[in-house]
Parts: sequence; structure tokens; C-alpha cells
Amino acid sequence: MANSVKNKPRIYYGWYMVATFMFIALLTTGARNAFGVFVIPMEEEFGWNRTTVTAAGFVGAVVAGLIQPFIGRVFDATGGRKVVLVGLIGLGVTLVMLSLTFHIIFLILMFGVLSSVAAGGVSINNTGAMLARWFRRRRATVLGLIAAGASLGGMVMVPFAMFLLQATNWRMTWVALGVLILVLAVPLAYIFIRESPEKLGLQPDGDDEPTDASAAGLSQRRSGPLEADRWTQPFRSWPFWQVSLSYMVCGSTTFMLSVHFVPYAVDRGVSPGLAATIMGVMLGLNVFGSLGAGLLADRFGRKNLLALVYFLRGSGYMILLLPGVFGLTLLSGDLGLWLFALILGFSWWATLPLTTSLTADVYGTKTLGTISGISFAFHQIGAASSVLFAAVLYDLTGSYTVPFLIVGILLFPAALSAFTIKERKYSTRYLTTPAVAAASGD
Amino acid sequence: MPWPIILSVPGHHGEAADPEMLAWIKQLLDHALGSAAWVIIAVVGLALVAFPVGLILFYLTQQRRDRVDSYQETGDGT
Repeated sequence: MANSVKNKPRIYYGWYMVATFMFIALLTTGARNAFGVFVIPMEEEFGWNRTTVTAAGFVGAVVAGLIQPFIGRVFDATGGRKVVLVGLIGLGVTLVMLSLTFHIIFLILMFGVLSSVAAGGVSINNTGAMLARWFRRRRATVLGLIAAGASLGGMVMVPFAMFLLQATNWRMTWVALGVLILVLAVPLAYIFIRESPEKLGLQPDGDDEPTDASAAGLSQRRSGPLEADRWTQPFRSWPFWQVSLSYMVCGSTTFMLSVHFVPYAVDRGVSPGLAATIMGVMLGLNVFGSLGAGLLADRFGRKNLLALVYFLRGSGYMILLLPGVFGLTLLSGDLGLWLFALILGFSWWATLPLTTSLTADVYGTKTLGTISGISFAFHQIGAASSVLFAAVLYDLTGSYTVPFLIVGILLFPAALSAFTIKERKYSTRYLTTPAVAAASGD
Repeated sequence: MPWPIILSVPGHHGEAADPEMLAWIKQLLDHALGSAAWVIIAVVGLALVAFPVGLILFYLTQQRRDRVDSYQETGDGT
């Protein structure tokens, strides 16, 4: 025991993992988000129309959602390191291959299918599941950090791709994005990624080795009443459905917005420039939202904060829509849009660290990749269907008000669903055992 | 459901990074930073390279310190 304390590293190895995953999230999410940069030059070169090119993005979003449970299963079965490395190499290679695009089928296959499958290997579901093994007390904080890295990726890599495209051409830009992943992210992942702290003789959070007296209690405390050894077990308990169905509403309320917000704001009489600025501010605030949510969740628990995030987001939608319905002129102008952007910006990615950490606390980490992958599939089903729903209702009513109002209202039951999760009963954060109490002298 | 509605979905869908919005952001960045693309590419590229290199160097430095600490503690007679 004494030796283990004296030889304890100054910096817990888990923090190197966090830094590595933040960087991976920045590069991979950013590179995939840069797809929009390539739309116009590819349209011009091949004479494609907008619908044809963006079909690849649509296929990509659907594949990314549907593949995640299967990749999560492989991740859980193999420990995860190989999945992350293969995913990174696959993503880098497919991005380089996109420079050879000559036909729309090639683009859909390469970006929509292969690149999406590869990106699934390095998704935040998987990297978050691995970090959940390394951190228990600071679990939500580190998940917030990698979500912030992903969010930052869009802000850094998309403009980077724009300038690269201006200085070279779209083929060279795809090569550059792929090479960056292969040359920077793959070696970093190879050097730093380790599947669990136990493999390095460490404890989660960098804690000291447990004493003999507390070890028995600790092993019990790590396993909650709903700890899942098989990925099907959570289907028989309420928290999984409460988390996943509210996550589906989350997907519908954010994805619909990312697709339809600018046209909606323009319909409200705002200039396209101001609409884009408001959207940019909203996306920029994501970074602070995910960081803040992670920090607060480790201090105050997950489910109440998750409920609060959904409630605030629902209130944001009401602030956006109801003043127009009731003729409140002050909020029906730019001010309403800015208030909405502020609320949505902070709440956009905040759900990710809260949802994943809550799932890990309740169901443990053995099958977390699969369970998070299934929850993410719900999120993407909500996302894809909401975009279809909004498009259809827009074409029928000539306005985005009705679809926005419907998904906005759905956020309140989502908040209630999160709020009623029995976190204190099921989460390992709140479980104490007689052995632990005895060891701590209580 | 009529085909035009179904086909309009991918048209809406790709706009998570809406090309028109990106073009407008590019104009804004050009205005703010100037249009010296290579300078911006070099700065962002260097930052991207610096992060992993810095992390590896930091890790190696810390490992060295940990070894020195461990050696000193052993040398102190423990």
C-alpha cells in the first residue's frame, strides 16, 4: 500500500486519455462536419444538383445512427482500443479516397456509408464508454470535455477546410483532412489509449488502492442493482427507456434546428447574414454548455440537470414561437431569436455528458458501448424523422411554426421523463454498503 | 406520400453545414482575417500539429519526473 502511494504518478493517466479523445473528437467531428464546404465545388465540377450531393450527407446521418449499436457491441466485446484505432484509420483512408470522387454513387458509398461506419468506431459513444471506465467521480466532467472537443472541431476544422479549399481545390482538401487524421490522431491514439485503469495498475479517478477493509464494499458499490452483464438487460428496466426516449426528443429538437433554423429565421424577416450569425453563436455556445453540464452533473447529480436542460430547451422553443402566436412584439423580433439562441446554445450538447454518465452510473461499463449506441440510435431516429416531419409540414403549411411548436412541446414530457428517473435508487453514485460505511468509520 | 416531398428531405438534410451559410461565414472570416488563406492554414495547421506533439512531450517529461521521485523516495531508505 505504501509503495503504491509513493509511486503514484503526479498526473493521473486518465487525463492523457481525455486529452487524446478530445483531440480525436475535434479532428474527426470537424472533418465530417466540413462536408458542406465541398457541396458547391462538387456541384460545379460534376453538374449535380443540391439534392443529389446532400443525399450523401443524409445517408451518412442515417448510417451513423443505425450502425452505432453494432459497433458498440464490437467495442464492448474487444475492449475498445482496436475499434478506435481501426475506426481512425478507416476514417482517414475514406476521407483521402473522397478526393477520387467521380460519380455520385462513389460519394454516397464513400462518405455516406464507409466513412460513417469508420466514424462510428471513434464516436463519442465509444470514447465516452471507455472514459467511463477511467473516471467515476469526474465521469460527467470528462464526457463534457470530449463533447466540447467535438463541438470545437466544427468551429476549427470547417473554416480550416474552407481556406484550404480556397488555396488549393476540393480534392486536395479531402486528402489533407484524411492525412491529418492518419498522421496526427492515429499515432496519438496508438500511444495513449489504454482500455482500463486496471491494466496499468491504477484505480479510476487516480484514487489510491483500496484498503483490504474497504475492498469488499467497494466492489459491491461499483455494481448497482441494474448493472448489466448483457446488453439486453436494460430493456427490462425503466431508466433505459426514460433516457432513450428523451434522447430521441433531444435528437429531433437539435437536428431539426440545425437544418431548418436559418430558413425559419429568414422567413421571420431576419437577413440571411444575421440568421447565420445567430446560428454561429448558438453552435459556439455548445462548448460552454457541454463543459458546464459535465462539471455541474458531477457536483449535483445527473437526472435533475438533464431534466432542467430539456425544460430550458422547451422554454426556449416557447420563447421563439409563442410571442408570434400571441402578438407579443418585443419577443417576436430579433430579441426572441437571440434569447432562443442563448438557451439552445447552452443546452445543445449538454445532454450528451449527462445522458452517457447517467447510463454508465446505472448500468455499469461492461456493455456501455452497446447501450449508449442504442440510445444514440434513438437520438438519430428522432433526428432523421424530425427533419422529414418538418419538411413535410413546411410544404403543407408554408411555415416552420407548427413543426417547431410540436417538437418544442415534446421537450416537456422529455424533462418529466428525465426527472422521474430513480437515480438515487439505481446509480452507483449514491450506493453505499455496510462494508464501505464500516471502513469509513460511520 | 408524393415523391417531391421525400426527395426534398435530403435537400433539407445536408444543411447541417449549409453551403450558403458556410459561404457567408467565409466572407465574414475573409473580412475579419483578410484573405491570406495560406497564413490561416499555416496557423491552424501548426496548432493541430502542436497539440499531439506537446502532449507526448509533456507525458515524457512527467514520466521522467515520476521516475526521479520514485528513485529519490527509494534512496531515502524506504
